Parts: sequence; structure tokens; C-alpha cells
Amino acid sequence: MKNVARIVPRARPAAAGLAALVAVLWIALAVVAVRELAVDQGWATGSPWLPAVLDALDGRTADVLAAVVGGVLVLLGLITLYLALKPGRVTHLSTTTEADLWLTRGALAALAHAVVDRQPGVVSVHAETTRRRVRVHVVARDDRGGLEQRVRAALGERLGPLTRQRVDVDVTEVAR
Amino acid sequence: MTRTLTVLDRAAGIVLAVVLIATGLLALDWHFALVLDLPDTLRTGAVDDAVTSAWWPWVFAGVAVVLGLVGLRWLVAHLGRPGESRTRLATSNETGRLTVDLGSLASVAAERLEQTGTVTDVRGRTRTVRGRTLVELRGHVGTYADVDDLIEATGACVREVSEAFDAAQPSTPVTCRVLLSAPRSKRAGRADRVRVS
Repeated sequence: MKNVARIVPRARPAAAGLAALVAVLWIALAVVAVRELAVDQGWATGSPWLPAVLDALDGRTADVLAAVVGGVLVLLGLITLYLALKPGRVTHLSTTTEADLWLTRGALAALAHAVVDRQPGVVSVHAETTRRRVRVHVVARDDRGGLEQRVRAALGERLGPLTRQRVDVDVTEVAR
Repeated sequence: MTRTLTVLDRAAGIVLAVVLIATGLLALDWHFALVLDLPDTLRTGAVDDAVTSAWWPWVFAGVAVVLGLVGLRWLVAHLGRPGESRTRLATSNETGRLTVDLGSLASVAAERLEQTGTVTDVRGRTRTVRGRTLVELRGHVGTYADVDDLIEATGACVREVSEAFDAAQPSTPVTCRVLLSAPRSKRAGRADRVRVS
């Protein structure tokens, strides 16, 4: 049995949307078919649609429009194939804690932000997370007190037990 | 979503893609006449005869209604299946049966985690994953949450659920997972402003 903790949280795959589209098309086909039967049996007024569609197609020649429609269908088919095989997006990053804890990129960035924001000398912080690293942009009054080292040390100490993501710190100094 | 449903969805997508590509290639070949020797003009007479016959509306409606019902069932399957609502404990005996309401347990675990103050808007639910019951807690990191407090709080929550079930011996293994998103407030990270006059 696979360990549940190893199952990565993922968003619903695009194939689910395609399946829903196919299901809706089948339901629509059922509605059209019942209407055709109702019109044919005289239970409803109107004229059947299917023979009209076939009449419109009858006599069509292999013109440029056929080639354009063919090209569009091939393109749609390739896009559909890509969406059908595409895996669901990974929604949360794993952590190194003992608990089965997962964080979105935004959550990890917020925690990094909170760590750096408490450092003396920091004017503003912007933190962002990619799949492999945490980037922290710090605006500070001046770096004479070794702010960059302090920020790195704080991030290493606080985020270390949480994640193995690489942490990049970029400090911009502004005049006092 | 179950694995079977995901496989079915992918298979349906692949079939749809193959149908679209094959139809498109046929239309292209009809115009460019590269492979098949297709007539220049489309004739729908034979199909038209079938469509206008007496049996056609009944067969068409019958097949389409079955497809429509299958489609409806397929759509409903995507709405999500809740996990086991109860689990039976091995300590049941001839004097009585012991079960645990997993939904209540998930709610209580979510409430306890939220009370730590490190996480907000926590919601608990149960899912069945690979034969195991998973108590899944989803919430948002508190705007000013301390990392150590967060690790301690989530660890304690997961441990409590695990220890409770280790002792109770449920019929299916129960584990707890915590999934956290960014702070909910749009003002996250901004400083509180205090005016002194």
C-alpha cells in the first residue's frame, strides 16, 4: 500500500473538464434525439433538424472551407490530446516536518515574509516562492549592520525545519 | 476524484482527440487528395434514407437517451465523493459496537488547529485514499504566524489524531494531513498603522 503522505496534492486534471464537456454533449444529443422523435411522432410541432443538416451538407465540394475546417479540427484534436494527458497541477509544496504538512507557494512566501519583516532595519519585504526556491527582496535603510547576513540566518533558522527550498535574499539599500 | 474516474476521463479525452484529428485529416485529404481517392462532391443520400426511415427516430432516441443518462451519471461522479463517514473500532464486542463519526472528528481537529492562532479558516473533511481514511484539514496561514508555532501546532494536531486512532484500532487506518494556503487577508504583510495625535 502506498504511503498516503507521499501522495502529492494536485488540482483536478484538465481531462476532468474534457470529460464534463463530453458528458454535456451526450446530454445535449439526448435532448435533440428526443425532440426529433417527438416531432416525428407528432407529439410536438416543428420540423426535424437532422434531415435539414444532411440536406445542407449534400452537394458540398472539397473547397477551401473543407481544408480550413479540417485544419481547425486537427488543431483542436491536438489541444484535446494535450489536455487529456496533462497531469493535474501540484497545488502544495511538501515540507520536511514530521507532520503530513503541505504549503502553497503563497503560504511559504508569507511565512518567509513574516520572518524577514521582524528584522530591525527592514523597510519593506517582498517574498515569492517558485517550485525550488524562496526569493526574498528586502528594502533596508542601510546594510552596515550586516542585515543581509542576519536575514539569511533568520530565514535559515526559521524556515530550515520547514522546507528544503533554496532561499535567495536580495537587499536594496535606501538612504536614511 | 477516484483513480478510475481519472483514467476514464483521460480515455474519453483521448478518444475525443482521435475523433477530431481523424475527421480533420479526412477533411484535409478530401481537399488536397493526397492519400485517399474521395469523390469531389459529398452525397448524403444513403444517410438521408436511413434518417427519414420509420425506425430511425426510435433507435436514435433510445441510444441517445442511454448516452445522456451515462453522461449525467459521469457528471455527478465529478461532484466528489465524501470519504467514509464512520469507522468501526476493533474494540467492539458482543456487548456493543463502537464507531467513530469521522466528520465530527475532522471538524473538531480543524477547530483545535484554528484555536492555536497560527492558522485561520480551517475546514476539516474526510477522504478515502488508497484504502485509508484521510482526515484532511485545509486552512490559511495566519498573517503574522510564527514558523515554529505553526510547526508545533500542526505537528500536535496530526499527532493527536494519530494517537487517538492508534489506541482505538479502527477498521481502516486513519491519518491526518494539513494543507495550508496563503493568508486570506489582502492586507497580509502590511503594517498596522497607529495615529498618535
